[in-house]
Formats: sequence, structure tokens, C-alpha cells
Amino acid sequence: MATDTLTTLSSLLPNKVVTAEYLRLLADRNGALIRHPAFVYGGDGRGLGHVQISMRALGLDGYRILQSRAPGTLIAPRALDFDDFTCPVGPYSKAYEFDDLSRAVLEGLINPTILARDAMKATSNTLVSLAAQLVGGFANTSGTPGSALTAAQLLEAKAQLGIRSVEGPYVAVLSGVQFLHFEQSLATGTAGAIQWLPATAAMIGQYGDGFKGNWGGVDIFVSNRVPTTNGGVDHAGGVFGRGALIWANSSFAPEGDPNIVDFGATDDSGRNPVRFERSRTGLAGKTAYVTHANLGIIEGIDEAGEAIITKATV
Amino acid sequence: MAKRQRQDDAPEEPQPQPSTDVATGLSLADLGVSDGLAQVNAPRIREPRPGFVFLFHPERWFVSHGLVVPQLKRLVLQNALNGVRQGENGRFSISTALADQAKRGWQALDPLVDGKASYVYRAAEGVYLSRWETAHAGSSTVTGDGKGYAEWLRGLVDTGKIPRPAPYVLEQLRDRLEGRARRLQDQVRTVPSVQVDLDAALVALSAVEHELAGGPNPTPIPKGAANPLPLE
Repeated sequence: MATDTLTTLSSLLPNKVVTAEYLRLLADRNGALIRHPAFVYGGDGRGLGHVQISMRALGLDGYRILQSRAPGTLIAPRALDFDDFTCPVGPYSKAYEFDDLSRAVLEGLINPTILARDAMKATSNTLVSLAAQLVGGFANTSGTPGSALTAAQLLEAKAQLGIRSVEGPYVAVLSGVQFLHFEQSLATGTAGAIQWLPATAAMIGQYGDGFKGNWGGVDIFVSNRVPTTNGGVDHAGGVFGRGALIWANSSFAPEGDPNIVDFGATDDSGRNPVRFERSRTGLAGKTAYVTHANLGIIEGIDEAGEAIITKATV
Repeated sequence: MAKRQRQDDAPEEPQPQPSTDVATGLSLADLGVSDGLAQVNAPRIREPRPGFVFLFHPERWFVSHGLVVPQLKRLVLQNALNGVRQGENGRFSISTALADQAKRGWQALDPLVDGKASYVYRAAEGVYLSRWETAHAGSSTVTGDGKGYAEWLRGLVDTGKIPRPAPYVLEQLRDRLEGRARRLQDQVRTVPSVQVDLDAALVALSAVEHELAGGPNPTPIPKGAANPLPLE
């Protein structure tokens, strides 16, 4: 009598079984942040003849008030106040390459449809990662470096924007740690004097998982792409209104090639054209799937933002 | 009567005894592991961290470890980010970006501003950190040295590489710290753990007042001898 075990039957069994469902490795996937109206879209550079897109800021609509004058005297004309912000656009790309055998074996897991979806999400996440580098770069700051962010400090930052007549709506982009400190501060202080409005499912559907809610008129987003500063011990988030950050992109000239697909503005931002192309190396039996986008973002009106620099550790 | 040895009683093989030496502890074999450990030497930082240039603004100061120091920001070297351009040779052009920043009052600090070592280094492929940040083998964690960074910044101020803050900037900073200290003084009555933050705020306030007391006299705006107001 013999008893078979997994060891004796090992040659009959597969090495392992892979489920159809897959997990997503951890990453910040909040590409819809750019939809927020505080971000100013500079435009699509295609056909404009330059890789730099300029946006002008004009001192009109009541920017300068009238001056009194003595009766019968002439009023001296004054120069129009204006500023100009130039946003260059540059290429961003990503590629995966597979040989024919791996593509055949992994057909259910890795295929052009899945890679195209990744292309769109990666494009919007790229723009958010660029924006996150800038939110802590305004000349005016709130928060206490080395200490936890408090609700009072976020209120102070919002008040400073109001004092400078910054156009709303306001948005705060904080790191996960900063948001934790803010929530802890809400929980232990303020006694609900200003109500925290958590994000509804509809808002999350529009602005992504990073949108946490609204407090005191400030929409709060969390992005773990907010950089560190001060020797790596603080996070540099920020709160800003319209005009603080200006971004631009460029769509692609049509190629008429069936291996090149230009998805219109279908990434999470709702604005970025994404080029997804298949590049074949027949002699080696390999196929590459390449994603291209043309993006750029700059600081606009510096006074329209307030950096929030606080402790980076829990 | 002697105990008869049963035929199927095989003599016991001596079992390996776990090491009881505290210094050596248990080896993988002791734990019953049959294969080895993969050696991991490189940091596991997944996303690239581009290089950067520090920028200084005369109105952005804070207090760190009892020192009044400038709050720098980074001009990140990434194509089309804040005006930085990358050429076909892969090198970055930052002159336009620096001109834009200069319009807002920011000044660039050369990486070798202290004359000793660059403030930026390459920790891994595509990962650039400041001198006070440390990446760790096999980990995605990057730790920071806030005290060392503050001392370096103060050194730049004391040696004149960064101009000292103007008195009005220090006064604004003092006002903010006073406001914070007052709020914390109220809060500590009901949340005793806030005492640590209150102590830190008072130390920071003291540092700013010391800086104000020792700073240069403000340059007054010249006043004309005649009354400039067109009054009848």
C-alpha cells in the first residue's frame, strides 16, 4: 500500500496557480486633483508654434479704483497693470516591452486594453506629482515647521488668502501625515465650531480618492507626493486659490497609423490627451507599448498661495 | 534484568542543539530554514526624486532648534516643471526658471555654497537627496536630520552667504509665534500633552527676540525736509 502526497505527485501539479483577480501595488492614484477649479488651465499648445504657453494676468475688473482730481484738471493716464506667466510644455513617456511568448501566456493579465488604462491613469498621476512639488513653494507660509499641523493654522492660511483677495474656491493639498495631524486637531479642539464636511461619494467620483472633504470653505486633498523639506523632517503642503498654479499641455498631430491611438482628454484630469502606441520589433519578437503626454506646470500668482510646512512624522 | 533493545529502536541521532550563545543567537539552519536570504543593498525608493537647487527668499524664515533660519524651497530639476527645460542631451537649463523666481524675490544657492560639500547627492539611480537626508538599504524610508540642516543654514547666515532677516520680517515672525504661544497656553489647561509644543513655541519666540535684539539697525526710508502732503 502506498500513500501519495503532494511531494510524490509534484510532477503532476503546477508550480502555483494564479488567480484572475489581481491586487494593485500601493501608489498615490489621485490624478483627478487637477480637475479642481483652483488649478488654471493654460491651454493646448498644439499648432500654436511654440512649446511655451503664456497666460496673462490683467489688472482690470476694478483692480485700480478711481483717483480723485481737482475740478477742471486733467487726469494722467496710467499704465495698465499686467503680468505674464510662461508655462513650457515638455514630453513625458513610459514604456513596457514584452516578448511574444510572455504576451501569449499572460494574455488575460497583460493586454493592450489594460495597458491603455494604465497609460491614462499614469498621465494624470504624473501631472499631480508635478503639481505636488509646487504647492509648498509660495513665499507666504503658515504652519510651524517641526510641529504638527493644527486646524487653527489651516484657518490662518485660509484667512491670509482672503486678506490678499485671492479668488476662490480654495484648495489645500496636504501630505497624509499633515492631514492626520489636522484631523487629530479637529478631534481634540474646535468643538465642532466649524463643521467638517467629509467627501461624498459623488465628490470622490469627480475629484478622486484624494479628496477628503471641506472645512471652513477649503477643499482638502491628500497627496503622498507632497515633498519633504527642511532636511527631510517637514512636509511642504499648501493651500491656494485660483491663479496660484497654471498648467498646460499639448495634444498630438494625427499620424494616421493604426498602431498609434490618441485618446482625447480621457485621463483622470479630463484634459490631457494621451498617445498610446504599439511599437513592434519583429526580428526579436518583441512588442513595446509606449505612453506619451506633453505636460507642464508653473507657479502663477505667488500671493494666491500659502505654503503649509509642518512636521513629516506621525 | 537488562532492558532488551527492540529491533526497531534505531539509535537516536544527536539533534543539533540551538546555540545558547547570546552573541551568536540562532542561525537560519537552527530555525529550520532550508534556503538562504537574498542580499538587499540598495534603497527601495520606488519613485524617482529628481535633483534640485535650493532657493532663498528674504521674507521666508522660521525657527528650528532654537535658531532663526531661512525657509528654503527647491527648484526641482524636472522638464517643464516651473520653467525648467531639459535639452536633448539630457541636461537642464534653469536660467529662465531662475529669472521667473527672481521676479518673485527668490535667489538660487549654488550647491557648493558652503565651500565644503554639495548640499545634494545621489542616493540611488534617479534618487537625489539633500545632505541631511539618508536613504537606507532595503527600505523605502528616508530619514532626516533637522538639527544638522538648521545648523548649516545658520552657518550660511553667520558667514554672510545668506543675508540676515530684515527687522520687519522678524517682527512678523515674532507676532505669529506670540499668537501660537497664546493659543497653546489656553490649550494646555485642558490638554496637558500640549506643554511640549508650548515649550517649543516659547523657545522659538525667545530666539526671534534675541535675533531682533542683535540684528542690524533698520535702514530708515529717507524723509524729505519739506512737508510732502499737498495740504492747503
